[in-house]
Amino acid sequence: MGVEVFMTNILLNSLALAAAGVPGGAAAAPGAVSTPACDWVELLLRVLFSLVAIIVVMSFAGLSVVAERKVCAYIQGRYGPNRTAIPWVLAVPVLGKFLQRAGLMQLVADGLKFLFKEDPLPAHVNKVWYVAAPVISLAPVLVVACVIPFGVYWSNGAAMPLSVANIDVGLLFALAVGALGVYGTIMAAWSSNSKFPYIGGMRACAQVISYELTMALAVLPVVMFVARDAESPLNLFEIGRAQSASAWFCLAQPLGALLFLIALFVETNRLPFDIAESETDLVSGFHTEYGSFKFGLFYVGEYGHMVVGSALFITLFLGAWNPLPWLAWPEEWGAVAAVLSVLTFLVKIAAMLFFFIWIRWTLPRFRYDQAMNLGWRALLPLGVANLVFYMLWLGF
Amino acid sequence: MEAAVYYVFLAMTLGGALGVLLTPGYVGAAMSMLASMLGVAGLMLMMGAYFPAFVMISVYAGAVLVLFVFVVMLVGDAHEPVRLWRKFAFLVLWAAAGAVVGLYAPEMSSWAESKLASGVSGSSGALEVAKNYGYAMFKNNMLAFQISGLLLLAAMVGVIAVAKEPAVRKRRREMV
Repeated sequence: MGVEVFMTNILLNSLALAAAGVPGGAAAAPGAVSTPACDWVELLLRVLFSLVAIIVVMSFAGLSVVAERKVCAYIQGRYGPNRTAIPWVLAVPVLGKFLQRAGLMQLVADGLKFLFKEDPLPAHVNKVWYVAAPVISLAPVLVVACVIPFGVYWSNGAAMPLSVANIDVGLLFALAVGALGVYGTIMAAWSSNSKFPYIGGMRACAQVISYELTMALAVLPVVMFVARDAESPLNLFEIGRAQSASAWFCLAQPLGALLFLIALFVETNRLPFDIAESETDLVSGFHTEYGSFKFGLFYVGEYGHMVVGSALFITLFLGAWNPLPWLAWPEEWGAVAAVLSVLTFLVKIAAMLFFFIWIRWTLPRFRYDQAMNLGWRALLPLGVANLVFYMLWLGF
Repeated sequence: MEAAVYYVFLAMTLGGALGVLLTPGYVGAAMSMLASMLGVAGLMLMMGAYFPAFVMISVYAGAVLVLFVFVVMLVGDAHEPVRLWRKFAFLVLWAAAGAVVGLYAPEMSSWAESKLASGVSGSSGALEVAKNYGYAMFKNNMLAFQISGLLLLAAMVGVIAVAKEPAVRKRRREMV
């Protein structure tokens, strides 16, 4: 277990360093990111910022685990976890009881259970990849979190993003690095050396290949819209700014938003597209052979993927940090507006997570052939049509 | 600092290349290739070529290699042992290439800055960069681009022809 966490750190740091070294944001924040590499204070601050981003993503992932159980219970007419309690927290007058009822202490119990269970290493697996796979599935998520602009602040009249690395090609970075997460699934499936994971891994491969095109096609019109008056339309901050005090892109391009959302469900392996996991026919798919904290990393990775995917969807289509369409937090409010923008973003993430969970407990799973049919015969043509439509629209 | 990052990416690139040559199975080779690609993308980043770096990760690492792995998993992984002389030849070649690249450590970021200052790459905006790529690919180098596409098509047809069971043998098998 310690090995994995250590490896995560190494992988993360190298990628985050690469991202942080990128001088970007030419349009929005001149000189904000182009730091001399020897400036240690700056570097330390940057590491601190990335830690904050990681903590935000991880805590959201943890809370969404609880939310999953509570919301599913609510949908099925149950109470969900409401007994777990730490005695001395329960002794706190009102708060203790509330935490117990909300099931928040269940999170601690779940985490400790993963931590203290025996960590099995089956004899028939490919050991290197078996250990590396959970890390590979979690690390890209945390790296992508670095380019998400969580809010906006103003200094000297210029809007600046509250993100770790405001890089010029942020959107490409998010899509490229986010897509690497599938290797965790594939390697887990392959290294397990067992039939059910193998089938699950092949399904994951096929699904990712099929839906990645749709995702890219759905994003392109957004970039075209932003490119009308921004110099670097691939910058996530610019995309967010293009939606302040104007229509959100989900209103301007409803079809694109829907396509991206469906592709996001596929990328995050969530129901109705979790055929890679598919408990009913594949035991539990690609992580059948995993237990203890390795399984925990997959688990957290899935929810982390949901959080970062939601953040990406919000930035692209749901108006980023702006409270309502055609309405932005006023610049005159200064720091208050900055805090409000971050809160808006976090509330939107929470709403998206609720949506993910709602869908999971409402829709049944697609069969493999249905998912393939939907991807190639319906979504891909729709994506192309969407792109051509907006090309013509902007052209004339 | 920059040198350290450079050598990390270099090690990823060359180590991945070595892994492709020396791992017995196809999946391990594909994964080594992934490491190599990430290393190359990192080197591109250091030279200030952000757009091609991330496009490469997105297209090759995110889609093409996944396709490779899918096909390998579909037909089954091979475990042919690598012969000793091949191993040795690869090692010598790789060491020579590695020595050339490793001993020659260019000042990548300053090189990129000088290029930028002299206005070779034009405007630094991602839009301009993408536009330049578009022009280069579909206007200036149109012929080369189309020819490479044609070659790929020919290769694909060839692969199908090789992989398909000849009709004669199929008929013979059905008779038995």
